[in-house]
Amino acid sequence: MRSLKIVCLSLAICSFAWAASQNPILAAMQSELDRSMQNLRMEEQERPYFLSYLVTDQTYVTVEASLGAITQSDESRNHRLSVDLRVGSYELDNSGVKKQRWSYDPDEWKYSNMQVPIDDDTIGLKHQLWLATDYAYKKAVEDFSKKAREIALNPEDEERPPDFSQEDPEVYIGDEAKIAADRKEWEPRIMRCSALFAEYEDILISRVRFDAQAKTAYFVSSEGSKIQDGDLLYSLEIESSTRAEDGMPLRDFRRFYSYDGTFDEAQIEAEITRMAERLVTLKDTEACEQYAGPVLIEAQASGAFVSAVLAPLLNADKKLWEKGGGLQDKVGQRVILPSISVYDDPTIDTYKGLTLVGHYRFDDQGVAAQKVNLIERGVLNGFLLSRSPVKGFDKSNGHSRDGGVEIGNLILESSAPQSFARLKSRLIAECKKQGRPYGLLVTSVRLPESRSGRRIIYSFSGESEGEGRRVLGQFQPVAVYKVYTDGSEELLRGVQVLSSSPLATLGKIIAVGNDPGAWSTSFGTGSVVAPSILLSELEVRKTKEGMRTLPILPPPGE
Amino acid sequence: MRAKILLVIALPGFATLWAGANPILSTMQAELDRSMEKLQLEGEKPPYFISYLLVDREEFSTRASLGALMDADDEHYRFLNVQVRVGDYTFDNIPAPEDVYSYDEDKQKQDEEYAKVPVPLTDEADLLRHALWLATDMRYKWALKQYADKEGQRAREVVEERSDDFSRSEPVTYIGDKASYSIEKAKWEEKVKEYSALFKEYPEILESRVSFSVEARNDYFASSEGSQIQHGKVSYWLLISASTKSPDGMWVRSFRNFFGWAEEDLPSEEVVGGEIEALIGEVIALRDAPVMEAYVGPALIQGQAAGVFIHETYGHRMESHRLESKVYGETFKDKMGTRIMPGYIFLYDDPTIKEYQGMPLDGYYLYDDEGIAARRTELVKDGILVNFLCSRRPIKGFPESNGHGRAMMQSVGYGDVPVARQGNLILETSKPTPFPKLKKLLLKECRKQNKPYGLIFVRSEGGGTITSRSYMASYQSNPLLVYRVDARTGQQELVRGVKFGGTPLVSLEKIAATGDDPRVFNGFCGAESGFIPVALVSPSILLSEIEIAKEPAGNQKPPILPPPFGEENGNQSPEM
Repeated sequence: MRSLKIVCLSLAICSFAWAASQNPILAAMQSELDRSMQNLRMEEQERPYFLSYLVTDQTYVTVEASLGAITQSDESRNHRLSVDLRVGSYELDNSGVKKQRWSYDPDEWKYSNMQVPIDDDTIGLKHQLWLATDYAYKKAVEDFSKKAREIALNPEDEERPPDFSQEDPEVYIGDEAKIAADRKEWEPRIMRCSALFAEYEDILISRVRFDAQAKTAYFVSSEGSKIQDGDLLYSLEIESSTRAEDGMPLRDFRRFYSYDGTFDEAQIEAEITRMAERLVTLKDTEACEQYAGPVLIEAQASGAFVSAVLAPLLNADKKLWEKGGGLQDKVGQRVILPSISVYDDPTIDTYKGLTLVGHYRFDDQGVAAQKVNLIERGVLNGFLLSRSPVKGFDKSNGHSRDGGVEIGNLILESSAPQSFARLKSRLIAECKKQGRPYGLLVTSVRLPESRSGRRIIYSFSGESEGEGRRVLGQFQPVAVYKVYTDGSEELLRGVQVLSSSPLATLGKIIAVGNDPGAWSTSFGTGSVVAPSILLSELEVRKTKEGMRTLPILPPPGE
Repeated sequence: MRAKILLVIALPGFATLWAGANPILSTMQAELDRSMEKLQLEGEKPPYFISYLLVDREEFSTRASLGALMDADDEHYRFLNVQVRVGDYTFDNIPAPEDVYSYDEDKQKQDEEYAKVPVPLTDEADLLRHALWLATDMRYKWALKQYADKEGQRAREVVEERSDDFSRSEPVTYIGDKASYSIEKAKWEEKVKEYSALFKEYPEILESRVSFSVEARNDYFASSEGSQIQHGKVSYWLLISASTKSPDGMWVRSFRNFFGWAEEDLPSEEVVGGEIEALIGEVIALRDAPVMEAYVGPALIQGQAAGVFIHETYGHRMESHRLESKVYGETFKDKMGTRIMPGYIFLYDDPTIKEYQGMPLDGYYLYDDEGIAARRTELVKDGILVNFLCSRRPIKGFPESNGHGRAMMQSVGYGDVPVARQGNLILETSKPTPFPKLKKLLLKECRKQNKPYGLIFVRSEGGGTITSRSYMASYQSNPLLVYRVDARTGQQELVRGVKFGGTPLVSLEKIAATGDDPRVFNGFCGAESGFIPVALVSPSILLSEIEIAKEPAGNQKPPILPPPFGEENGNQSPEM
């Protein structure tokens, strides 16, 4: 009996190791990593204490159409390499050194974010790993000496957090991701959807776009991590725009996501119709005026609001904190309504039937994604962390993404959720209390930018200046209603929210709903779930951007 | 009798019938007609000219390194260019070439909006018409602003003699065949991998890459003057590049590029294999070569490098807008009819030919981007300057286009306004001298000038030239291989780290002899209207004097570890 057990156990280990060594890409990465860690050193200089490689194999398929005709149909594939090499120690290493002066270094642009060849024959991959590691090592040595000198000359407080957290290695061999979408199959479907806009003559520009992205990440580290992880995400984007008579642009973009490439066509068609009719209605509505007062943001739009205002505060971003913009000194203090709790959970991909896109297993430093309780009963508990520890937090919780710290699935819940009807009457009550004739109800928002065209066009997302006040660029309301104290409603167009201190804005949240909606961030790497949110005050004004006259001639007749 | 009458009646409608067979052109015509008839902002000038150019590109490309695939792209996209002119032929809104890309925040926003107008990839008329409507409206309003700006500018400037802004031209109708390719993608992915694998034996070559691409470009042009043009072409490129680092930290590199109009034009595997071997030899030799110091002396510019030399010293200065402007040097403005080169030299630009002595030329095109037929243009005859390259922007003495108005036409905001550009620039000589004799002449010249060395430049990767007045009119050229030749012994030694250059008028006076070995350089030329394919043909040229200077050099050490060895599983540890 006993011997049988032992045999089974060792068989299991053997087969696992066999599976790992069968993957030529990981094996090539491991081989070059080992060689570098063993042998890479310059005379009288530090050796690396840590090295990791992340190779990402990405495939994209895009099909786009407008008014029933295909406007784009592409596919492309690339492989990128990112190297993290550290000299020094976990306490003090070369990371975080800013480039001070311009110098002619042809190596720099070659080796940061390199393209690498991937194939069963791994010589090419090893060759690039060799060159990239060599460059990273030399840079690390230079940066480390700079940093060590700076610290010696500018003594900081004693409790400087370590530069790199201690984490357990991870081994995981998942499936490689392969797109199962055929452009030829998708073209007629996208054409059909886009043709629905044709009957709305008032809509100037419209498009429907299908994107498939397959990403396989290969990660090895000198601590013993070995990860192969594939991800597949499909998205369908709808965009339409027109202008009001006074020249104000009216735009709407919306994106749907799916993990298996299926979309409910009926739902998409309904969404298109809804978007088109809303835009056409907005054309003839009154424009927003300067306003400060209570605002109720309906679910899904509320996710965009949380994404714009709260999410950035929860990232432990050293650079932002150095500028004094963070919540680093508020741990243990109340930052929001006591009934509200906020957590981030990348381990799930749905929430009460809602599709979430911030699901991932490992971040780009190879740390397992973890659920993090960020705010509990209104009190700030912690932050989303990478392997760069910050004061009070010396471990990563697996949120290092795209070179920074990002949310996965951010979820806002309440222990005292109110029905939407109740929130609406509270909105009116708040108006009366403040002596305002009306409050605002935001029922839909759009993405700050679209992927339209071959090049990604960024409209002015982020913040823009205007009369000394900045606009909350990441939160773009589309349909907003004035809600009068007698309960009647009137549609408004051109609403822009003025931004103020995020913490102050959070402090204006006085109630939340029982109706969670999911909102995805612009690049589709994260989701925010939030119910409807009632704020005692937000400042808004009429949008000033992009005013242009309508076309002189009528649309070309049929 | 009746049949004749019918024929006569049919003729004027002939063009329309043809266009009717082409859905894109007829859609364009419809919106052109409507816009010219009705498009006008109250109280403002209407357009006096509108043109549409739709450039359709289908492209497949793939790249490999050391036997493995780097990336691959399969794209089909279209770029719609709309040009609206207000004013009249003598003065309109289109800015002078030097002002086309001056930074303007409002223009940038305009361009962003313009770029959002969806253009169909098929011949689907509704969406195309919709796009033309929106784009024409945007461009018309922008034209009014440009006109007001230009009028304001004119009021302040001293204008000696002003040429018209837009030349007259007869409308053209031409419907060519649609260009397309049929390619086995997998076959080419394998091929680039195989070619790139030839570098595996030489890991001391730090970087090597093989790229293949094929592009089908189809242009559809219609103008309010009545032109209707469709033409297309398919080009094939195979590019091989290799570079490495010398012990002192300098990068050295070389490359080969192959261009063709058909897949069969690309060289066979044996030829490519041989070229790669040669390329490898060059890069390794460069790595070990000594660095050359700054020097002035006689030089022999061989084949391809000579074409680039002519392009940089002379070619750009033949682009007509540079001859009537306060911003450009106007180098050859007053030299028309005078001798600017030795009398045995004949220089012309001919975009109408697809090859020269069997070598494909990538600067070929049938119609330029203003809808004018490409024309063989003689520039220098018996050493005497006789003509310039002209777009539809006339200069004094040159009131008509000769079909050289070109632009990149790939995206809005950059490379979308045509200016006079080269096509296939060709230098021929009535005194061809065999290369060994040229080398002898080189040494003779060295000894005459008491110089210890002469130089030989072989192949070129390109160069640059300055035509603005802000800096001295000058050019530089980057040869791939430079040999230092001992004036007494004739012994040749490869050197690295230098480029050559000078000033155009001086250099052209230093041409001492020309070879019998015309070579083609196919590449891309960048200037005010973006990057466009341009070919250069020239035999070797002997210069009695040229100056060389050092190239910027990195100083990062070569890699610390030796290259990784072959084992896939990494089970064998490499030797140190």
